[in-house]
Amino acid sequence: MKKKLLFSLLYFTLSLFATRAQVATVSGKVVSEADNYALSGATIENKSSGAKTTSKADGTFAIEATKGQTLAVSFVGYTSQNVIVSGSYVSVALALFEKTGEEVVVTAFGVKKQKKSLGFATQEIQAKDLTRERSTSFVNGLQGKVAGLVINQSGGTPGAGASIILRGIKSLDPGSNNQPLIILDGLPISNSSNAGSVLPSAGSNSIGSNEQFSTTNRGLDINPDDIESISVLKGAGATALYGLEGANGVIVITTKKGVAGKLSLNLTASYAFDDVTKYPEIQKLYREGFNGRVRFNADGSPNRFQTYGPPVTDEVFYNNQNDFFDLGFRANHSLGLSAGNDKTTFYGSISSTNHKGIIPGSKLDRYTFRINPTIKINDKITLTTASTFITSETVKPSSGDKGVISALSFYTPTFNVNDYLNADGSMKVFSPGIIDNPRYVGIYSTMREKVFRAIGNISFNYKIAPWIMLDYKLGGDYYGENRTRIVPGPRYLGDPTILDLAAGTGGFINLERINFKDVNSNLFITLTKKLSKDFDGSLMLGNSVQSTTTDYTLNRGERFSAPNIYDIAYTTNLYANAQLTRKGLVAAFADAKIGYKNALFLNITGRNDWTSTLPKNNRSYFYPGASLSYVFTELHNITNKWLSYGKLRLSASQVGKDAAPYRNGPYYNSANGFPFGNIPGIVLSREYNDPNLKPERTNSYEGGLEVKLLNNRLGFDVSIYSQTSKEQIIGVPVSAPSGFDLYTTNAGSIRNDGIELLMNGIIVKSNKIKWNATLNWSKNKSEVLQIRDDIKEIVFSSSDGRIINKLVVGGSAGDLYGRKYQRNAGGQLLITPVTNSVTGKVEGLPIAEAAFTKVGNALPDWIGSIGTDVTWKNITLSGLLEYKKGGDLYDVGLRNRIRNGTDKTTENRYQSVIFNGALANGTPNTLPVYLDEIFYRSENNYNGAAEVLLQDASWLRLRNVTLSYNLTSKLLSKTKIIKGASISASANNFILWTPYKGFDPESTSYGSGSNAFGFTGFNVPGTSNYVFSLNINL
Amino acid sequence: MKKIFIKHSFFLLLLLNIVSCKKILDVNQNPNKATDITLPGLLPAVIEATSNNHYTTANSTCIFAQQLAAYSGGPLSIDRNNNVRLSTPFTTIYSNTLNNVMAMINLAKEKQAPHYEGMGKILLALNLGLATDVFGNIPYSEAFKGTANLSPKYDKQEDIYTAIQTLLSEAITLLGQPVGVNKPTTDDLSYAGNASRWIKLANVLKARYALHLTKSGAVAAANQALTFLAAGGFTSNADDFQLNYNSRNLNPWHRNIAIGTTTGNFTITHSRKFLDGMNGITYPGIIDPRLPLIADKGTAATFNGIVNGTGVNGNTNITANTFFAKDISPIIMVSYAEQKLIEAEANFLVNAGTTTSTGSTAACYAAYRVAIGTNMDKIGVTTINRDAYLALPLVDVTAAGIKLEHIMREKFIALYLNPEVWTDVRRYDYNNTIFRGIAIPTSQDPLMGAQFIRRSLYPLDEIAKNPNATIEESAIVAPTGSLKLAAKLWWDQ
Repeated sequence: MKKKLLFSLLYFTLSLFATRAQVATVSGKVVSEADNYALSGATIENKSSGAKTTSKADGTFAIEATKGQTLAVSFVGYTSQNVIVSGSYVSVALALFEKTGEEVVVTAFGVKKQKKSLGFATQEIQAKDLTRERSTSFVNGLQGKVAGLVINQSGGTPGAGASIILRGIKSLDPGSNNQPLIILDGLPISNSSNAGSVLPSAGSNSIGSNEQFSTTNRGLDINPDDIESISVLKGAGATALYGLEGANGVIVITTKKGVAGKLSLNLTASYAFDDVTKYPEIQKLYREGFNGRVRFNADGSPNRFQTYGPPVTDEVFYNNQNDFFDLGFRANHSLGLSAGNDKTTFYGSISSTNHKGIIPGSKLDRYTFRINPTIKINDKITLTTASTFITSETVKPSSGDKGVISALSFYTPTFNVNDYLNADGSMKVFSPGIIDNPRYVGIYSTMREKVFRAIGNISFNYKIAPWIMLDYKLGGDYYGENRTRIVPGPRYLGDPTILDLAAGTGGFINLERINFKDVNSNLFITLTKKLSKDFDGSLMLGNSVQSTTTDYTLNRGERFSAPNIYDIAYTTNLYANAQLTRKGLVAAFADAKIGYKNALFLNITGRNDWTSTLPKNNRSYFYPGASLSYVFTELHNITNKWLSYGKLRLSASQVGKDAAPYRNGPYYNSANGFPFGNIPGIVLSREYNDPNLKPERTNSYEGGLEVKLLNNRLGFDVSIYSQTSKEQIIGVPVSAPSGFDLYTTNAGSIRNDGIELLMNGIIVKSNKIKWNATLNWSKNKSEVLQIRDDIKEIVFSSSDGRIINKLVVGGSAGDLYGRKYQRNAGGQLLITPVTNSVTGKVEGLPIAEAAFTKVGNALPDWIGSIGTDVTWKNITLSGLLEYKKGGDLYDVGLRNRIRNGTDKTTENRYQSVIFNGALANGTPNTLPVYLDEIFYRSENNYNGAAEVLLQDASWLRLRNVTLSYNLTSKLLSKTKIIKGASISASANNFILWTPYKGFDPESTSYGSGSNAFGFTGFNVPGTSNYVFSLNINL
Repeated sequence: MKKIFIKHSFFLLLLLNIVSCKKILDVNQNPNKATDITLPGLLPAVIEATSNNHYTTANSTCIFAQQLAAYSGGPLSIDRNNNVRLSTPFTTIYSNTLNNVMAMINLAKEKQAPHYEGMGKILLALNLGLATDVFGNIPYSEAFKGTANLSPKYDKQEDIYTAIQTLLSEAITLLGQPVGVNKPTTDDLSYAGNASRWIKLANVLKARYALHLTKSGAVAAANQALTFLAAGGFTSNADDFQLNYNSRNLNPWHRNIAIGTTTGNFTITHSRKFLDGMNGITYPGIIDPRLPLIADKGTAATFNGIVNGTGVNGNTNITANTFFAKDISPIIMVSYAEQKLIEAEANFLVNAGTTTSTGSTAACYAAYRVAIGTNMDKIGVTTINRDAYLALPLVDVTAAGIKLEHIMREKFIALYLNPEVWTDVRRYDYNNTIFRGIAIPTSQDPLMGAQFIRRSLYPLDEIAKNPNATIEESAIVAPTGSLKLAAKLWWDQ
């Protein structure tokens, strides 16, 4: 496969130079009407001769044509235009979203369809919008630009993962994947987040692997500058053809293609600074200590752990929460190259991203290389290959409990956190053995991930007859990921400052190796036929085969035996683990479409999947779908100046989802912690899998209305959907005395209902000024309809157990439970007299309930954004304002800061207050409470109550403001080399309004690869970026 | 030519596609997991799990018995008896142990391996004992049936006790049979396949669980215990049923408690009541040489435990400097010292001994003295210190002067970190003339009405999953003025 690819690449490269240029042409340029942005890859067709070409990176093209002939110019996302040739130069400005219906969008399997024929909602993001913020990952570039799409960030460390949720959570199971499928060049690629296993055998490490290193989602490997457009297929109607792979929605990436003409180069350079967006407020009145005094150990050494000491007098006070962070810096260089003739076109790119994080020592270096030749073998056969190679190295600090941010939240302000090194190379820390210096941890206890990835595909396009098209694609996605986590042991014999992370193990090294391989084959035949004067019909028949293998090995060595060398060969205890996971999927599908008068379209789809992960007799399953598009303005010839376009769409479809691999058995496990000495132990698995597992099914219904008003100046697009996922494959927790803990079976259903609104308007349209605005708004509501008759709830990862995320029948995905303050029947705070163990006085305390009740929900009530572009001459100013309503968050960092007396809220201390409430007998409370550390640290009242711990994480943020300047062609023509250039400056995520205390609430602990929501505090905080970029076309 | 080549290669690919489908789909067999289970694989796993259960149980019950006390957080809530639901021992006993023990017994039966079967039954009895003494009624007869019964009912404690004795008797018979081809050796992490030691263990356990029933007839229970011991119990510390940990498989007290003390994560430590009983405060004149082997006071001048429920003002810790919490320390599940103290107590009771009476037989007194000496030898007290302690007037009380208090005081110390002590404390109703210094924890949940904790409630997790747990819990009757946590178990009534 690899050899073949290489050979064909060589062939194409050679043929590129062997071809000759054309003569007698009409030249021209295609730009976007809104902002004069050059459109590369637009199709220009001579309607008379049938000759076709595409525009180059700078928008220019050349085509054989004579005066009077008509050129049809089309481009994804834009309205097609017919231009009559009147001279030797043609200038075409295509309008975006203006004349609706004629624009084409990319749908399932990369098939371009007229938007008006679609009976379901899709949304397209163009390259210039996607890359405006110059995000390292395309996933982050989608933020705030698509209605119904929620992105969960996992923090500001370079390479931090992000997860995407489209139209709500569809699978209840904690281990289930709820993320959309990513399609690149028509074939799926992996966007997985492999949390792996980063834990040692003993010690006080954070429990989750995921939260410790903000596991990267592999979508990071794609160079955003290679992307031409992204089409987001949201509902089951749009994704039905993808079957179970598309159950969570599909993100279809269309890459840039080479265009015929002379070699053209596109160079982009951007430089960005990262800074923490928002900091928690700390108290500045008290120094380290306990009970208001400086504290000492029994042996006379200072015990500085808490910050409940005496008032600050003239000690230096450090703002560690701020000073700890560096200014991050990111440089991105990307070179795109395009060339070709009418037979062969070529696109290639190289890019580099070098990102230094805000935590000292953290970084990401990514290099990508892509070649994408297309060859027209003859009029009937076109051959395309694309190869992408990515290599990256990421260094992430230990986060999670005991990690950098956890240690920082405890760090007392009377010691400088950045003074981290002793002369002998050991850690300098204010409270040795109890808290680590986060800077030292960040530098010396890291995870280094090295990735090599190759994505390649070869595609044949064979026009058997004018009405039969055959398409075949074969693709491979391979990556190898080497992760090395090091927690240093003592630096020398008797080093007193052994890291908290190394307690119990004497330091350890984790070597994880992940080899991922995915091979895909797609075949489809499309038949198109005009059935009568009014009816058009098309039928697509397809087959796809996918085989995925993940090979994981872990070697861990514990207890370093020699100082200053952290290699597995110098460890005493070795542990190893391996897991090979294989999965296969075969599918056959059909898509029939019938159009009436080019205004009413009925689309029927069907797909049958055969999956390896279900029992043989259940592994084949079929699901149907139907959608209708009714362009009423066209069908009934409604045209007036108010209503320019109107379309109604309806769709109903079903998609399925299979199980994770190996949900069969029975299997037996190596006993936990074994071998014991050298004796192995084998035990029963705690999981039992239903031998009759069936696929999950999601039934979706969607309706939408699209209208254009006021001569296309104002557009509305509303979608309403309801999707019910039934017979979910859930690991149902069962009573341990039954013999196991988890019973994986078909159980439970969840319904997601939602509404998405898209509005765009052209506010000002004159020769000099163009001003557009877009609004995205979406709301998704979910309800757990059923789990299992005998199961009431599913509890997700619960961090420290003070706030937990669980699914309860009748509740919603993302529901958070906590312990509220006890209240009496009248709703008054119930005050309990409790003896203060230090003062011996009876105090009137509000106490948290023992029972957990619903206290919030982690998912937003709704999200909305407003984007706008103003172009004046060559200057464009654009902005994106985003609002998230609701979505509660438990910040474990706040808990720590309160517990340790560093948070601003604890500044109010060492005084007596009387809580407004009533005693059990109903009399008003008169008992004061002394606000000391016992009060703030108590898990059963202040520091355990949901009212204190759970915060509303609604926010309004200025996601982006960009000012760009297009250098005029007049200016550039003097250079003779430069065809186009622009410079821009952006600020991303730099203004944030939120009631939330703490770092930017956008990042959560379990960002990617997890279904647990609502927790934060241990991850590297989110950042604001200030970007300067330059784009040159040669 | 080119065209033909492309056409042909295309159809070849298509063909490959169809042929490979079956191969692509038949890949759902996990290559990294065992599909068979063996007796030598199960036995070490269940011994280790049983040992760990002693840790998970004692971690809380030794707080109730006031050997230990909590610093803060969850353990402090337990110390203050706030909504006690010991989910960890419930999980480790049911999820990691009993299911595997049952599998081992069934497999041993199938493979005709009587010794494995016998060991399995002893381990089953021991784990059922741990669970029932914390939770009372527990699932057993309907448990471990998989999907056939996802909500097993709870058996009465009385029936569990009957089952324990039956299992132990059956085990003794099985272990007396010829070993056959399936012979346990190094996979028996405690006794290396020595069947006679397992039989001794069964006898000691029969005596232990018989003596638990003193409240329904002290003399009968004591006689029963003595009869079982007469059938052949331990003869020295070498017979102790324990698991020795190593530097790779760390002792749970070391791993979970001692390591934490080196990183500022203080969870539980010694109770003031416990240490005061050993350092001359409760019993002026008794300075117990075991004290420094049990508690690490660092550089502090005196051993100060935490007064239960306060969470503060202690200066000792469970560290790697103590006998019990080194990385390689054993967990002692059943000891010769315990057996001798059962013997002493049983003899005391048989000879008309009561909680207030003085004097007993020479056999009672001798067992008491052997227990002290053997326990001191076990944990490394020097001979000189041991003999000096045995000669102290408050220890060397003679057969005529011995009281129940003396026996139980020694048992309280000798069974440090063993869940048995809470059972002893409850059997004598937290009597503070026997367990001197024992008192209602400070800041105890006021709803407990100043009554002692007698049991744990069922874990919320189990209640959420098994409707029978709800039925059981609602059937518990809280004593007047208190909570269900103060309700006495069947043998405690």
